[in-house]
Amino acid sequence: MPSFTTQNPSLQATGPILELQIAVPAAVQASLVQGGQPVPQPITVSGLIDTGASACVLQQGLAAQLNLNPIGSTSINTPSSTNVQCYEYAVRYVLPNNVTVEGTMIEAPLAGQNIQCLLGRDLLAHGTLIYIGYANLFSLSF
Amino acid sequence: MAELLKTELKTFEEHREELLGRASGDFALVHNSEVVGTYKSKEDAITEGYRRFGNVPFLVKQILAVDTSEDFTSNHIAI
Repeated sequence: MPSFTTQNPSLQATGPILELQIAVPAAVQASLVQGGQPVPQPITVSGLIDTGASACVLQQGLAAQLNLNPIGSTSINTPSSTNVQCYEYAVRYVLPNNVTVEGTMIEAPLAGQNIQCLLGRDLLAHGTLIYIGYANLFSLSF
Repeated sequence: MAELLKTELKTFEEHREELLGRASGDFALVHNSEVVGTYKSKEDAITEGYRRFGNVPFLVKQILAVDTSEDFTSNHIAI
């Protein structure tokens, strides 16, 4: 089973943050290659595993860097807003240890500079998340 | 939000009742003003969208009587 484990001495303070890459989905890559067009390079981002997020979120503007077009529109509720319409994009997650998962992300502005994506329960639905607080580590497998 | 998918969302609404009657819970693939088809999984609808149309905007939307929202309990989203 593909998996990775991350240890972070500041796990309690920062939360389960990891570095990952966001790439165009395999279907887009195949289409671009077939058409002789360049495939956008994956973007390296810091992501927070957020069990309070029902879906994954990508920082606003990054989908354009991947030259992606929306495949959906969905409304989101946050602590301060309700029913805000946002675009949804198909992406490929390249997680540590080269664990690769195809999925979708909602594009929205994320507060602060240190996190460019939230990894929510739609991604976690495909895997097993283990959080061992006393050892400052977490593990995700698919 | 910008105007992308405006036509597709309008098309979906125009066909929602009919789609509910024959494919409730499935995922509709809509491009411009055409409902291309319905699929059991979101992934299948997305794959078919890229296969047919390439990397252009299209709509994949679950066929429900009332749309659901995604919920975020933290303050990470600046909206």
